Amino acid sequence: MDQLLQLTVVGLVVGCVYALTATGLVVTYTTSGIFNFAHGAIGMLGAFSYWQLTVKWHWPVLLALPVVLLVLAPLFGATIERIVMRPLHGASVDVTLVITLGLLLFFLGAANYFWDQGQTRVLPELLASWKPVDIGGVVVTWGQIIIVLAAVGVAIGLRFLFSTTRIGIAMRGVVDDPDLCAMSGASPARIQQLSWAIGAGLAALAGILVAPKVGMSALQLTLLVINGYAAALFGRLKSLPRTAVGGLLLGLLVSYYPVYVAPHLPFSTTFGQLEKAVPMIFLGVLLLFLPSARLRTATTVGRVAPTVPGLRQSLAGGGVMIVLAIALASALSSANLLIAGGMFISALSLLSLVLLTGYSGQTSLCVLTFFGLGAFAMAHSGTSPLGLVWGGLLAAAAGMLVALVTARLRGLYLALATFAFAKGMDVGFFNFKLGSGQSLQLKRFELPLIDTSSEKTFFFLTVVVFVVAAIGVLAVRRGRWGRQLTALNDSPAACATLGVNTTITKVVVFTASAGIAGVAGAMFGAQQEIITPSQFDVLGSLALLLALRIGGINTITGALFGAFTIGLFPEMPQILGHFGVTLPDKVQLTFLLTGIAAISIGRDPDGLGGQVSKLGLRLRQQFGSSSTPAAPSYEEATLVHG
Amino acid sequence: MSTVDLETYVPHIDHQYDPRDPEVALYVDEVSVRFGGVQAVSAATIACLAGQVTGLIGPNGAGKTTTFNVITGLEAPTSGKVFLGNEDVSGLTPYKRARKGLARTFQRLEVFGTLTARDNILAAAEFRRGWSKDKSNPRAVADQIVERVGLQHVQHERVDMLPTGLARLVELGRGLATHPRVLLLDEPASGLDMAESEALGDLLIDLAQEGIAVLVVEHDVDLVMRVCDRIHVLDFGRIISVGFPKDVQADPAVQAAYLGAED
Amino acid sequence: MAAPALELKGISAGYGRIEVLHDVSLSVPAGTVYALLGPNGAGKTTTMLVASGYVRPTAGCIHVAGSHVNRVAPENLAKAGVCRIPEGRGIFPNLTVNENLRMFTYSSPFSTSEVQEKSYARFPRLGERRNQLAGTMSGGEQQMLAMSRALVADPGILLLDEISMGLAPKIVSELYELVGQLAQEGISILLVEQFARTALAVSDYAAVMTGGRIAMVGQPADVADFVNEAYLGGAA
Repeated sequence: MDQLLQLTVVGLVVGCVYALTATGLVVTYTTSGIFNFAHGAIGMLGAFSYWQLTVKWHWPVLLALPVVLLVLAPLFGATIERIVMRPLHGASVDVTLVITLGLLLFFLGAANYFWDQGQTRVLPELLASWKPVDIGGVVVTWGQIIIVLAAVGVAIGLRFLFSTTRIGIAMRGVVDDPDLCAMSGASPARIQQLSWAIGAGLAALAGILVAPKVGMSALQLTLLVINGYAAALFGRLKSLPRTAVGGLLLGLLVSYYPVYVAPHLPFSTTFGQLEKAVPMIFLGVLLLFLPSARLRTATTVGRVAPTVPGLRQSLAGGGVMIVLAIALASALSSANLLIAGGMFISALSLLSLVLLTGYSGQTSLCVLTFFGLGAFAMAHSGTSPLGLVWGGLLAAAAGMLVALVTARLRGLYLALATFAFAKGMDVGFFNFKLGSGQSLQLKRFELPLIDTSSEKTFFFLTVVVFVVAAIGVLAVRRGRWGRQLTALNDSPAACATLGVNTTITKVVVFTASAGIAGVAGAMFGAQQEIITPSQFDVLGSLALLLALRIGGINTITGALFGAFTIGLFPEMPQILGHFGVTLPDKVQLTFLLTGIAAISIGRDPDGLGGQVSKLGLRLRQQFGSSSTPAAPSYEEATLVHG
Repeated sequence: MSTVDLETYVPHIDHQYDPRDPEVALYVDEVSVRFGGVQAVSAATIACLAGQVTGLIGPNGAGKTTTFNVITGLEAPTSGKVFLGNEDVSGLTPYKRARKGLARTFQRLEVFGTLTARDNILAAAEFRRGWSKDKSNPRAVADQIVERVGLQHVQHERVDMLPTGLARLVELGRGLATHPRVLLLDEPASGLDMAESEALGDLLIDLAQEGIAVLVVEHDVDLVMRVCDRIHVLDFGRIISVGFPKDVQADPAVQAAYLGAED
Repeated sequence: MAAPALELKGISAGYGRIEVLHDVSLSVPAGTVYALLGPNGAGKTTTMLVASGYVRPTAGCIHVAGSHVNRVAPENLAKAGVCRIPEGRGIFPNLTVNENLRMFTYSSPFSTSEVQEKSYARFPRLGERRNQLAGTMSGGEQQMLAMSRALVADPGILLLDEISMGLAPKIVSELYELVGQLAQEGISILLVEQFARTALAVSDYAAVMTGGRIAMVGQPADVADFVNEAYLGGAA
């Protein structure tokens, strides 16, 4: 009985934290229509600035708390709205997704830069010196009481704001009809800015309350919000009361799970260790019960599809690439060959996203999960080259499963579902099967007549695999199935009225894409000869998706550009070091730069690759106008529109 | 003042067909749709016969596009049924209805904008090859339809770069590529010039002569009067008049719907 | 003589590459009702959007009460007295009736209670439903609520876009009673309407648009016959 009470108290306290986080998310989402994936990162920055003020600079709590919660965080939120979000007005879910994910990585990188994560920091609980209270035999600290009081206070405050104040009603009104708001003299932009300020304040509050418990880890604090997604989804991203209930339910579930749930499940030892995956499972189950989305009708917001090279062109391009690879292989050192090979492996995994996201318009935040499954299969295949096949098949099977479960979802919900899957696999499979903080050794596969243990040969082999896959993907794009994917991307409603079973199409493309990522993962395992769970976490998947955005979402060039950008970022300190410039550690830099690049280029589906070809086109028009045909090609029209 | 509630009142229209009549290709049986507090369609009954062009006209906001969405399954009706060729298809998803020979165009364009005009039609022909027993060559089908709807001169242009009128023809061609028995056209002539509009009218008459049941929503009165065999008039989501073009045109109820009640 | 409440001179406008309005000119004298009629797709709504600043003209000038307002933002035009009741969606469906009225008075000199009193006196049915979410009311009640904004705004020029769309005749005549009343109070009104007869009954001037051009301007009686032809073809 005591144990039940104890767990209930703990569960309620945790639930209040989830509810607070989710409430901030929902306030911003309903008012501005943007789901802020960087919400957790903002909370993390709030906690770190609070630590800086109180612990480092010895400010009194009563001063530091209002400064962070009422001044710094809201200002920060309002600034983000003004600089990053307002120009996005009317942008598609796809674009806002990329931008907020970019912000997430950027904030994480920035926090790592300012607060060296190698150092240990402790944030004391609020009122830690007060004597804990005994409630019916359960000892409750004042820190816990404050969490509950804060949640209740926020709930009452928001209720008051939204039902009685003029600005609160306007915040609800803007959800319905921003134009009508403007006609009534209430500026939608200002109202949305306020919602970002409130959202950021709530994020910081949650961050400060939870940091003493979770610890001052930028990564942990940032990802904590993912549990809040589940609570927000319980409220269908709309209702604040339901969101609060969702948070409490999830808190209790997490708290009860190890004692009351896991032991009763089959394979209880396995399930007992899956405690951390509980919120993800909760999120997944909620997504299953979402009502079916209506078929999306056409979106015409400046989408562009670059010309697809013909077979002869792609063969020629592949040939050139292989020749270059031979030249490179003889010029580079073994260490650099590993890096260069790694880039081609990244490019291969980005090909899977070109197919899935670029061609057919499905969002996936779990590409590295499929990649990791491929590597895992390779690790269990010894020296057999069949590991590549097993890797592809294992990932494809997982992809098919994900697609079947998420068949009814799209846009933001699909992104959340794949995010949950990636996070769930991260804590429930990779850390579990490979051992947290550990690594798995594997052997490079062997081929007859070819010495795969030589880095030169293996690099060459990697390039060949990439070229074959790229030619294959392009062939698909030109063919019947490619037309079907493009059609599905352009107008799912029209596809359905022409007799296309859109669900099957989605499942097939998801499976194929996962398969490609799996082969890439198997290549990766064989190349590295050692894998660790952290290589397949969800942040890596985000970085990859953003890299492809940077390169250009729907072209092979985009995949190459993206892979090279993301591959070069970690090497920046070393490269710039030659010029006497010192830069921080590589991982943070990857996040920082990927974040910035994604924020700046995320709006343009053409990415860097597209920019370069547009530049080429412009130059040709400038200097070779006589040679261009008289009829305007669609590229030119694209130029005008883009 | 009468006690009739005008928002739910359904005028008595003598519907002369039954969903089981062999010549009926499409039958919309007392379909109602309600959005929140707004009754978009009230017990609308429409019969389309094979080999005829049927018109569906009415003022803005009368519920014409909603009716099309219900017929194709994109929108679920609050009550009522849809019959395709004497078979109740009310419970079927859009793609299953399409496979039973139903095709449509959209008032707000739903073209595959990043594909060329010909590839739009080719894609549809390929879809059909995928689900039907007829394995005729999609490329041949596409070329033939491109010519038939008169898109040869722009067939290799991306559709989102085409003027609306031509993009509507692409949608029409795409629908034809699935060899429909019933073809729903939502304002096919808007954006076309006089000559193009005339050619479209001829095409619709031809299609009907081949046995297709064509249901067309259109605001170009001259076109409607010329090509339609029968016309249904929708107003406030209700069918207020059914008949031959001349009769409908002279119906005082129709004039009131378009011009407002005479005092 | 006072400057016209609204004047459009040689307006051309469109969306992207497609021009919808070609050289449209019209003038609403202060204190009069001007009906803009015409079939679907004639460019009536676009004209309204131009007049309220939501669509920038590519040529021509817009004058409101004598001032040139071509480059004024819509929210500032609204503050300057241009009040548009948009076609079909002039309310906040997820706010209650009371809250809707509160939004309408967001930047108006009237107090909320004053406006509630005024609207509920005009439309008792709204008063009965004051705490109901607006989106759950019938189409007619929603349009009444939307029209209440005109009561609140005390507009210099009121733009009414197809207020009768999808509504039963009884409700339409009730709404037009209000239009007549507003006109008597001296509010200048430009209204776009499908129901020609209903609209002509309350107007002082009328124009017919077809294909993005003004096809005819005149007294309501002259316009009536012309309209019949434009809508239903010659035989009617």
